[in-house]
Amino acid sequence: MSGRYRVLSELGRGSGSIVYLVRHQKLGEYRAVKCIKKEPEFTWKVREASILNRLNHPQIPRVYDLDEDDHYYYLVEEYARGESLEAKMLRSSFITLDFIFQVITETANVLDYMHHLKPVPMVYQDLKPEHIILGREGIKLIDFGTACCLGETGNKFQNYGTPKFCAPEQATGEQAGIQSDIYSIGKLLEELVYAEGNHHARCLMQIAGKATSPDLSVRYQTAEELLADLSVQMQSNNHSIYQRHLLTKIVAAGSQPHIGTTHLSISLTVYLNHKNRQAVYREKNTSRHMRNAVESGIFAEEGGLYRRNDFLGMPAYGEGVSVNAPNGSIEVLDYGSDLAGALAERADMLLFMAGSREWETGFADLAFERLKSEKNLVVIANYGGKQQARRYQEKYGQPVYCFPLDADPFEMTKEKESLFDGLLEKEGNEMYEYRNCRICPGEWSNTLIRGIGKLCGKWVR
Amino acid sequence: MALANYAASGLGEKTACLELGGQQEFGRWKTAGREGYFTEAGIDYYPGLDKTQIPMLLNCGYETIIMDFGDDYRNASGELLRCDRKIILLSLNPWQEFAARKLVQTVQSAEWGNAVPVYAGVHIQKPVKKALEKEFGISVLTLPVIPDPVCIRAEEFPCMDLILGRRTENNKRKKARIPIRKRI
Repeated sequence: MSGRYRVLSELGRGSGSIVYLVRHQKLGEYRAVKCIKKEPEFTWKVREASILNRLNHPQIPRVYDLDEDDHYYYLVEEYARGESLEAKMLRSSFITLDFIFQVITETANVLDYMHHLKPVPMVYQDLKPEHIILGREGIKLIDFGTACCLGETGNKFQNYGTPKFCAPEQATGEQAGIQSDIYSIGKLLEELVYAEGNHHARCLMQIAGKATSPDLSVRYQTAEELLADLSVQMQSNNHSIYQRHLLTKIVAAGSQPHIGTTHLSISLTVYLNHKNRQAVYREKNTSRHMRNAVESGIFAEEGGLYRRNDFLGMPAYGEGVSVNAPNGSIEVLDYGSDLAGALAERADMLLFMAGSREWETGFADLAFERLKSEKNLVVIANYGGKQQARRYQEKYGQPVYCFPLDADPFEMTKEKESLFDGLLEKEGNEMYEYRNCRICPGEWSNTLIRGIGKLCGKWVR
Repeated sequence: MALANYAASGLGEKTACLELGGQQEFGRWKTAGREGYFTEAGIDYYPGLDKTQIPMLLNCGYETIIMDFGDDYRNASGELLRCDRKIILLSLNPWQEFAARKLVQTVQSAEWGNAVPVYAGVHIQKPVKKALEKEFGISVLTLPVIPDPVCIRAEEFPCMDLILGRRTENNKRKKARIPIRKRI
């Protein structure tokens, strides 16, 4: 084993097992290796290999190999890239409604696949945020150590699970079934709703309540039933996932060069990605700032796009190359001081950056005259110039937002988050209702935990 | 044309593409203006250009000038030697292998100043490539098939970078790092 794989880091550890991230020496592929101690109380965990071998689903890791030496069994699995849902919930101050919808839908689909396996359906038994990995291609469900075949009784593989998420019948030692997994989905949904902090999520509590009912006749019989209810609920309330088309193109333009339009556009892209809204910055001006930044090597390349933490951008490409933004992403187009270009672009929102220095107001007035007929115009004063923003507001007769004095556009700050929250909530239709209202019971404890998580995240960075 | 399109549209450089091999292909594609060129996708194309006009174009503020000598390399040794990047396309089909070997021998001769160009080719069979590399002590770059030279796709960027010398084999494009999973 040691000859074939090079250990890169430890991914996690549980009772009797440690998981490492490894790299195949010849193929260069990343894999996860679970090392299980060869002790009588842990050897049953090796059965995970045969369970994974039976499963063939894009959201379930594949098993590649099973090996052993004198002390350990080595289970080589596909490496699920990304962070766990648990880590995400600790790190993010907002969990959006469409994010909840996506996670629950994908998780329920995986479980539904297991529940309909032939000849014998399977039960996962241990659903919790820690076991859901959020990757680029959706979620991956990991750790199938406690999964079992439906009706498998009289052995220690039954009735496992984490107390917080396991069904009452599992806790009392009764036989676990499909509905036990549905109970866990309900608990997961409940956790996500608490973490979301948006009053719209309350409607999902009804579904979570039915899924977690102790009475098996009341509880959903299948994951499909739960999914159907969830879709109806999301559609009937016109939630954001069904309104994604409302805001797909945002144009930013400034009253003059070097006024901070690029800074604003980058910050907005970072904000949107930070909120799980895939957004791509596009350089549509002739400054070559993005190209120069690419050449300086501060970005990682992703198929003609360039990433740096939450930022994803595209330099100004000519017509001779073909690079597309990912499907469904919001485009943030940076037109610099090219007002004509910004006007020609049919945007869902036109952000106009006005200088707040005294010698810049003349340019701002002239530019506003050209743009004022635009329906979706949003005026922003730069450098945190609140007084000047108020003056503009009186003069232009429309709300003027104030962009804070900011050092790093690639880093999300409280001030910028609060600006974009308010701006998109008011100007960006119902799609962005990120109010920080707290109404569900028990959520304060979650807030405290998330706060601690964020602090820890900062220290780690 | 693919290189010119990448330089102009992908890298945003002021680019010219000169037809120096007497192929007369650009001229059949579009008619040049009074100044002797036409512009397409940000590239100035100079059809049927005479070698004597090259010095003048070198002073026209172009950041990248692609000179296409076609198969007229014998008469273009002077210009080829002056270029920053010398790209020699090899066709290694069994009936063309002989010509390819002769071309490499010529370029490696003392008359050519022992120039070290970038050898490249499409559809090269590995054993043939290896044999040629071993025989002449060169490295032959296998080019991807570019379906449309006026529309370069993102997956072709690394190869274009290598040929244009923007990145070396050892200094490849930075790939996104793997986020380390916190728990399993």
